[in-house]
Amino acid sequence: MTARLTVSDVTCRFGGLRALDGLSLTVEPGTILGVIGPNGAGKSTFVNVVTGQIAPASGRVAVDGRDLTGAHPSRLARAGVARTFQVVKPFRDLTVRQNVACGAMFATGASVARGLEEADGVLGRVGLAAVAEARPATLPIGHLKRLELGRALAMRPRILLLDEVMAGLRPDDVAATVALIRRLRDEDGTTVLVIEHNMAAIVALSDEVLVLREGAVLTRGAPGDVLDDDRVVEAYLGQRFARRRRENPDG
Amino acid sequence: MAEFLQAAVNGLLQGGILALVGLGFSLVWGVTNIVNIAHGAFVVAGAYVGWELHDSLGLNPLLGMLVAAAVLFVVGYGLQRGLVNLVVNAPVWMTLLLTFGLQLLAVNVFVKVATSDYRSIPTGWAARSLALGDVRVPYGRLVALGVAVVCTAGLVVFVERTRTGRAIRAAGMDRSTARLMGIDVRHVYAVTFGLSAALAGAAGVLVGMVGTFSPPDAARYTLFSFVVSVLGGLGNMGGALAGGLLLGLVQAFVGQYLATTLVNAAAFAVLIAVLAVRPSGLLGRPFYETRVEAR
Amino acid sequence: MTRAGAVVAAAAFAVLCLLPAGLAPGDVRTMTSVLLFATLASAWNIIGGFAGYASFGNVAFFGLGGYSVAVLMTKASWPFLPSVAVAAVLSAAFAALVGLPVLRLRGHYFAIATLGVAEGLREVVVNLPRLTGGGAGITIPTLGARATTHYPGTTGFYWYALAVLVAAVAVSAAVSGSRFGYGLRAIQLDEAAAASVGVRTTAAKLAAFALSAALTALAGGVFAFQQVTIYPERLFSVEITVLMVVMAVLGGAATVSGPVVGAFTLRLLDEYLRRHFLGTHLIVFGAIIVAAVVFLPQGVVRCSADAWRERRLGLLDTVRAYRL
Repeated sequence: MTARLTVSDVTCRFGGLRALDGLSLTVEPGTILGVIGPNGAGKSTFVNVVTGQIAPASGRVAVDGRDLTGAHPSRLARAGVARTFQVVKPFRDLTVRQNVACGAMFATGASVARGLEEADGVLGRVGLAAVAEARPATLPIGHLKRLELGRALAMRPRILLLDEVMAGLRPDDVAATVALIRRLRDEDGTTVLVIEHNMAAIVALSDEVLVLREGAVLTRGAPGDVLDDDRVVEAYLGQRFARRRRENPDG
Repeated sequence: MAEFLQAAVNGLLQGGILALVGLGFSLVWGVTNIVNIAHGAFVVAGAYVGWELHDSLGLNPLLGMLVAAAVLFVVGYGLQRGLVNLVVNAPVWMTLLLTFGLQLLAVNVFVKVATSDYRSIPTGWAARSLALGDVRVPYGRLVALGVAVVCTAGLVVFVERTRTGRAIRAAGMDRSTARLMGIDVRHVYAVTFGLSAALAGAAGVLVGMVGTFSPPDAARYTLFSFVVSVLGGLGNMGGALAGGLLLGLVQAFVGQYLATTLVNAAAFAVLIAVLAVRPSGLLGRPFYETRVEAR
Repeated sequence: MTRAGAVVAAAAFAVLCLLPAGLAPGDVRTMTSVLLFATLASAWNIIGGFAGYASFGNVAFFGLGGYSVAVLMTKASWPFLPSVAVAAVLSAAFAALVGLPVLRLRGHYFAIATLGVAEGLREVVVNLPRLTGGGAGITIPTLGARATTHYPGTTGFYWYALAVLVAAVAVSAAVSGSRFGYGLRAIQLDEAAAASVGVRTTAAKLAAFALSAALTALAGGVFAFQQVTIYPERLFSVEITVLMVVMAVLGGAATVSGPVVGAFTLRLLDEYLRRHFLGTHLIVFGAIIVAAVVFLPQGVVRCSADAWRERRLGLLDTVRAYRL
């Protein structure tokens, strides 16, 4: 069985900086993978390469074994790769319902009427049915994050990349979102990649956690094991803190 | 060969004036992200100020140039503060339309007040030429090129060295951060606009001194400003000078070897080629890189 | 289109059909020009309003349409209708061709690149005198053996202009409610987000540009035949582009009715000023553009809809939103 997502030996340079440096990973269907790493580790670049916003300098990106390296974002979207944006990007002058319908219309080829119907279903799922006819400008950030999620869900994605979708949410909203993503995986079999700073959410949500550092995979494994890994602690908090932790495991 | 050299000299000399015409336009675009369609009207307004001072007071156009620059500075400052500031955050077409409306208004006021006759500011010496072998160098145009170089250098020094200049650069890079640093962005934007108008006014006097002007010319000067800014990179002062010289050369050679009617077409061809290949400007990195909208 | 919209459109169409019977020939000519400008504004709205790519060179397609008709009728002795159809196809093809490079640009760069295309095309027309008559213009034969089509006269051109406007409004309405229209609006509002949900952004922009060009060329073709003799300066005038932008925007960009409302209002206002303030009418017109941009940037259609809903006229709201 081919992996849902295969990233092999991807390198991405900005001037002299290597944002991704020979990154390789595979994700199996139906997995929730948490992606973490310190600032500048290449998380955003990784999302942008997988969704086609950036073409890598070298390497390969494949979805279900199909090579889509450097394809236009819209082609990846139609191949089943959906994303949310860290800085929300709603279509300002469209209603919430129309925003979500766009996901269905363009990724799955639904008609306008069908797209709006699909949107109603998705809005119920993400808890935005009450504001379906509102314009994004009138909504608080928590709603906008869910709108991003809803628009991505309407695309019926095979791979869903969630870029900081929980940042700025209240704790009860975080819990609801975690539950929603789990249900999504269980019911639809969607593969989910969660890029997140909220460690509690990552641990609660992920089957596996992958740590990026300097544009490559530092380690990967079950959430508990990874967060306990000295190298991960070191990557986040520096050598001194890691050494102190080793010498004094209880402190 | 003499023909070639003469065309090159003509191009460089004309390029000096084009550079000065485009310099302020580029500054305003780079700093405030406004494409000022009315820029050409400032050029024509400056020419009228110089012409009037010469006609009624017999003032030397080079002194008239200073007066024109001062007058236009005040006009530019006021226009930005009172009107353009109202739409600074609006979508592109709004600022384009607003400044187009200003241009239409200004040009037709000029026509009403001064008719659309062609005028020039006559001086005894500007039309005489220095002969270098077979190549003739008209004094007036040589002085104009000199003024353009001095103004560009002066603007660079002003922006790099003075407090206000630094505030202009800061506001151009990141308006909200500049505000947090205690910079009065409204004032700084208005000063930038005023400076731009002053440079345009000075260029206008030079235009009147070495050739002719009339109100409908305003549109052409706006267009040339655009080409100069795109060639040089937004808000890049040295780039504007180089862009002006380049545009002058292209026009001179096309006029010499192809057809004088193709001069404008050549300018557009250069513009489109540059936009298609290097939207951030032909000459080096644009100064306000984060401002560049094109991918 | 909503039911109320369809009723209003049908009523407006009925009035426009009855109009020539009740007007003096001079006023019919004015109305013909109003209809042609409404077509231009509606056509601009497809690329500039829906897709948000502010073309400042749409007059290129007006001129190309006009010259295609003139050249086909004069040099190839074609009748008017096939000439105008081919003019529309040619303009669409030209738009697709130049669209490939210029639609990669955004904002000011796109605006000025399109302006450059229009000015460049005018220079080409000036410099091809054998084909186009150059700066001296080209005259479509309307009398004698060389005339290919009977000259329709004042009222005849009114009907042509009305037909072209109906086509433009029908296309706008179809675009507005379609998936294509949603795609264009998504591009206008956030191109990166549009691509990320699967909108084929390049193809959609090219299609919008070509559609806009084809409709613009229809108006250009009718105008050229009506004028009989056409000149590059007139057919490629920047002012025509600016007028279509102003009309579309002040009526309401990205709405179906806005460009039509804007064209009727501004063109009739312009005519009024021309008649009563001869000599200063362009000054007044400039002032009106400035005031309208500051106070009505959302357009008459949206502004009055908001005023109706909220029971107050929010002229200063947009000033508050856009000022520094």
